[in-house]
Amino acid sequence: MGLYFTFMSNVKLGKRAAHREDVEHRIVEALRSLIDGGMLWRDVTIAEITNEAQITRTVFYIYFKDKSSVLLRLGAEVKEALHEITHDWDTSTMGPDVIRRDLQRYTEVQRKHADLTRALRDATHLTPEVQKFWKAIARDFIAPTTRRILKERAEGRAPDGPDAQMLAYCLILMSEKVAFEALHYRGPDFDAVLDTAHQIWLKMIYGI
Amino acid sequence: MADSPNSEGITKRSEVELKITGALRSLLDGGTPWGSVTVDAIAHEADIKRTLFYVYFPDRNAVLIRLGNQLIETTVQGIEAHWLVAADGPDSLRKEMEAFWRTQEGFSPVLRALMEGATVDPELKEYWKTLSRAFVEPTRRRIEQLREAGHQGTDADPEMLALCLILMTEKVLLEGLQLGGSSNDELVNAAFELWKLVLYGS
Repeated sequence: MGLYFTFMSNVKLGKRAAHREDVEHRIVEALRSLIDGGMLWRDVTIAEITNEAQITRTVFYIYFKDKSSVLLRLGAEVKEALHEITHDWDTSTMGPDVIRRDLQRYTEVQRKHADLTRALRDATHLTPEVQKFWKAIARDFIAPTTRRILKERAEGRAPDGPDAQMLAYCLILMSEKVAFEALHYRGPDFDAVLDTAHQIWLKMIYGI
Repeated sequence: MADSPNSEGITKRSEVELKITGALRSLLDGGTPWGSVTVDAIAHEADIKRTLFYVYFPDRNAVLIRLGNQLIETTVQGIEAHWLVAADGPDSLRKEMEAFWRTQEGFSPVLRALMEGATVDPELKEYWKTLSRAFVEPTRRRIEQLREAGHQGTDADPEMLALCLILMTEKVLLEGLQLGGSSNDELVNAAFELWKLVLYGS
């Protein structure tokens, strides 16, 4: 009898967890759909999200405290995609071609998640939590870039130059900014900007 | 000789406009976020009536843009007066970059407000783009001038190079102002080294 109740209670718990996941998924996907549909972050409301997810406002607040929490859940996908780029940096050699490849990968992630990164950037000025998250994404690149520059110098492939951490800081922020501008302000040609950013990286690290 | 009625009108107009722009500057310098700035607050700070505000400016955006224009004028004048005519090599570049940095720092509350406004307001977004681009053209000219004088750091397209350098500087500067993480001296140094190597090659 006791085993039966334990079994039934586990079944209920499992169902509850699955239900929870399902509702959370619907909410997150609803926000994605609004953002991908071109809605600006300032215009996104809880009512828009619940309407899109076909749930009530009360249910929304059981799972998320505000719209920024949902955005951060989506932002985790961008963070993971960007993290993928750096995962082998400590065990591989940099080199001019690798820099080009990684810049390409970086801009591809930005391009793939263009609407989402725009929403994240817009939200940074309104929500400290999102600002912290957004800054941390850039920071995640600075430390591994610094280590790579130092390794290139230590192993004689790159000449000594400016402080590696500050250099990494400038190069990463520049790359983030130019990719974002090219993508969202549709000003300069995306590939031309990427070429120029690549040339700046090579000049600063290898002197070529 | 007494001013004509017309010039009195112009003086009065510029006085009130100055009071209004000064009031917004004062609110921003005092730490009021752009999102909380209202026409009422500006009028109160300027010690004028709300109705008078609207005689001179259509909305608060116009006042912020006026402050942005002051930043552009100050910076571009500085660039054109010194940077574009000085051909003393990296040392003069360093001095000019520091001056550029100080100007931007002086306007940092205005820059922050513009940046914040640009994320929620299409008019300010468009203006923010203009602000960055205003520095690109003199930088492009500087790059071409240096190349004519035999300095070549990279052979990248001068306009693209100018854009990358300006955007990098803007981003590094704003990060420094926002986060207070790395000291500005370190940032200025790194940014200067980057400009120097990219423009002069050594």
